[in-house]
Amino acid sequence: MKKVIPLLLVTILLSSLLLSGCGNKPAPAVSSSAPSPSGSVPAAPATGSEPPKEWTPERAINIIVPYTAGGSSDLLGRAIEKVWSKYCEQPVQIVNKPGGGGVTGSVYVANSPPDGYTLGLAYGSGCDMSMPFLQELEYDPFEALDPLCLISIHTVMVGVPENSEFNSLADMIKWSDETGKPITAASSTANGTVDLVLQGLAYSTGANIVIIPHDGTAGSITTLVGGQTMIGGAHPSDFLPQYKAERIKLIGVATDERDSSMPDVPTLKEQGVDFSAWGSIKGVSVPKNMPDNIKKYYEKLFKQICEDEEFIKIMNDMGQPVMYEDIETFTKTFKNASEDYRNLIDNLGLTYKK
Amino acid sequence: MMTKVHRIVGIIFTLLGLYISIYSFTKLEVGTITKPGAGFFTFVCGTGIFISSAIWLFLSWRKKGDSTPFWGKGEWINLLLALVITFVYALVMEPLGYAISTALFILLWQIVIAHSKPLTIILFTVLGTGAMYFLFEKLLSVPLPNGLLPW
Amino acid sequence: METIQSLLGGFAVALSGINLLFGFLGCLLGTVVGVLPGLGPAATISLLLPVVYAMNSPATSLIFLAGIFYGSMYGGSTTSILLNLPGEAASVVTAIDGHEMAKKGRAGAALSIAAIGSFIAGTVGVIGMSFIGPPVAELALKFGAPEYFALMVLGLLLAVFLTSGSPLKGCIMLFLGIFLANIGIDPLTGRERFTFGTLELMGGFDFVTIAMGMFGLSEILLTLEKEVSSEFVTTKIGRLWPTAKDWMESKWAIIRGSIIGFFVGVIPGGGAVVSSLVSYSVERKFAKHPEEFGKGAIAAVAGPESANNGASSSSFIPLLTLGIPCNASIAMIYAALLVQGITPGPFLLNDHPDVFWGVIASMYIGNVILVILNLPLVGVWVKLLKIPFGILAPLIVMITAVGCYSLENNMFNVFAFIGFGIFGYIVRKLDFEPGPLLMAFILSPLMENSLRQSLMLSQGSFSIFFTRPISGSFMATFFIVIIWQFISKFRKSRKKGPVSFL
Repeated sequence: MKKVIPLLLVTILLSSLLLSGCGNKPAPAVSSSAPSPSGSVPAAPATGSEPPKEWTPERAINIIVPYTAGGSSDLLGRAIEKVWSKYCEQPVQIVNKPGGGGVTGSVYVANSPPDGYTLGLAYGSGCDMSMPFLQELEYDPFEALDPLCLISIHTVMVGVPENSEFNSLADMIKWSDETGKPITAASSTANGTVDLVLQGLAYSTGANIVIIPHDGTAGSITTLVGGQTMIGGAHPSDFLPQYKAERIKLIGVATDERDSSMPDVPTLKEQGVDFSAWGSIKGVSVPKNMPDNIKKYYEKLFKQICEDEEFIKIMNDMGQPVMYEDIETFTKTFKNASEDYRNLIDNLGLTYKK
Repeated sequence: MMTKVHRIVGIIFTLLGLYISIYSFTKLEVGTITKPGAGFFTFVCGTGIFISSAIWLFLSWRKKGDSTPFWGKGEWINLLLALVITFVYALVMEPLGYAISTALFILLWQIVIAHSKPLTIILFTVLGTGAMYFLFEKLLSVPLPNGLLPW
Repeated sequence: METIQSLLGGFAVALSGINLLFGFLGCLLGTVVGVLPGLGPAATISLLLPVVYAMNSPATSLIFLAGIFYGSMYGGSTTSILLNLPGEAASVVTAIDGHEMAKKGRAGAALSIAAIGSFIAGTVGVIGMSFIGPPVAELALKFGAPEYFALMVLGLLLAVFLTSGSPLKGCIMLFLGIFLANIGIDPLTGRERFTFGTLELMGGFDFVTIAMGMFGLSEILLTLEKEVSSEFVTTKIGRLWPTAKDWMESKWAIIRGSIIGFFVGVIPGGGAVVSSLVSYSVERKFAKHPEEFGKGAIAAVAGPESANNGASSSSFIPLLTLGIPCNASIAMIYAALLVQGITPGPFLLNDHPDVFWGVIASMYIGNVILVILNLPLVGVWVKLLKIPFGILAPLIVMITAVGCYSLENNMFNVFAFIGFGIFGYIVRKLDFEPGPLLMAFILSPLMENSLRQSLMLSQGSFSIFFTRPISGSFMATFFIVIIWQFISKFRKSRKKGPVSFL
């Protein structure tokens, strides 16, 4: 018994310490009566019994970002998080599940219960668009997930370190022709949308571009800023801080039109390189078999978010134009983009053959 | 006895190394030296396990037998009990929920393994379960499994 | 002079009521998170971002989030020393000798030296950051794939020589650690490796389940073999404060650790972990009794613990001066700043001096807060060890199991934790050390990526590791250390007969 008393004191002291911390901290309230997020959730109402018309969440919602913190998809998630509480009473939690160029996180969403508490972000990125055609992949974006809405499309830009002798694609091609040496290029993930642009650039210009994949954008940007590779590809929002700091020059954007957030950067086509792609589509996905009333709820919620002035401003400042599309339109866009990617990769002769 | 366990573990490690190398070659792409594939590093790693375990196995085989038993007399009883209780705890955590399973776990351990006094048992069962619930669920808002009861 | 003036301005920002309060709360919360197994600083910061947005002040939010990050590094050593539960990758090295000290009844000395060392290192880090931050930040940019690979190879070599165990067994553990890290989806190509189609394995094992299992649970299982009535570590608590001798032994270790931590911590990726490994090896070379390392040497706690705290301060340098995030927690802070309309990078100093200098000044204050917060707690923590093992053990197992559950909200991690506990128990009975396995597990992904990237860069030539100055000198150090080991073994064997590599 003697030993118990000091212990009790410790426990009381510790909990009072924690309590004092808790009192001041406006912690996100999570309903304690919430059902467990995995396993024990009752399945969606069986067909036959009419589902309730209106659905509203009763606890915190997880949005899975399948890429590392600080990357363009993560920034998009954080921007949504910033304005979320204006339109939804329950808190949102952005969860990063990076790995495998986006496959790990996407599969996680696909295997979550379709109860409206797990959503996926960045649906339409490399693992959904280019990877299925470029390599062997156990993941199928159409089978795994359902589209919900589009939020933004991120173009792919080509950049060089500030002290590089390349000021345009022409300089790069000239250098390649004259020296015959390979051009090293940093990309965020192997066979992602950025990687494909670099592969397409090599194909269209005939330059020998050696692509060095990374495990996320932070790594590839650091490599490029440090001059470890000669060129690099990324999305505008990834380049923006370094571009503003004049540590990186942007020499081309791989879309048909110039990017509205960075209108100074010429397209590849303007520079005589016949290559363009969709870029990385950043939509919201949901697990298969989600009841319609839950989908409706989120479709409306994201529409409100995308019309929020603060959200639009944050997104523009980060170089991510907001382009909302509802379920119907986004489903078509997604299919079209996938089709276009298939053809593009086929034309480049890069399609993966077993 | 100890030598025997050594040998068994050595053989397991060696076989594991071999298996990893073969898997890397057949199931994954080792790739080329200019473009290493997904199996490149795992192949190196498997070979590393294979070689180092094989050397270890060879060296320890030549060593004289160590007659100390792996377990002393009765040493394994508490060990086994603790593992069984922990395993059962993990099994019932989701169906029963955090509170019931945790309280049961602390209770069982103290009765079966520690033979504590009744007052101590009750005190720590309640305190431990409650404090952790408060910390995770309330302070850090990390959801805990809930089954029969709402907590 | 200008720096000092700006710094004073920063103190004015950091000391204003609301900022001071949130700096304190950040440190406190960080300590709690560091002590608890499972929830790391990155997850906590992510959890609290909505709160931060509500503050509507970038300076306050950055002060708060930074406090959580370095506070957790501070708190991480506590459970490592007391219960052999390293909750953070950077405190694995501290756990090795720290827990041995606790077993000998010197938990108080270990905890206080860790707290004092952390304070000194943290302060050295912030001073360095205020005066030589930008030039040091350029170091981060000098690191390309070959440099990372050379650094990782060197780090893993140092990991093999962690503790006094045999190098061969260390090697086996090392490769097993690399194997465990390889399970899951290949980060560069997206191919599944060793997943056997199971969903849980696709995400790979979590560091926490391996660390908690192989260190914490196996320790409990080993203790259970002995009499149940025995205490987890020891009944005698000994004195709380370090003796004069302890102080003499750890004084220089702390200073060396602080400097190593400051410079190595700037390197994105494995900075903090590698700095603790480097500090451990350096201290062993300087020690009068290197044979005590792994058995509870105080310098082996003071050095690495200082190094990882120095690193946690300096890992802010690339973020604030270059706009490059060093690790997952800092990347989260980077995102939070961008969303609030602040672009971290070279212009931060001019555009938002209140944010830049406010944060640096708050880190001076935060270090003082942490040492005031933690030193009195040493007495409290040490009393924890008075709890009879029969009561403490289920509580530890329960806390770690719940911590593992909280990682992903699934039971897989709990079962993995139990599995690694059993595995750790068996191999530790056979005199294998879990340290190298854990280190390899942490460093392996960076090593694999950098190796593959280097070979792509060099078109398959290994000379790339030797011709570049930084990676070349790392490789040279690597071979010198190996040759040195062989020579000293050889000398010993001539003196005392054959030496076992087992």
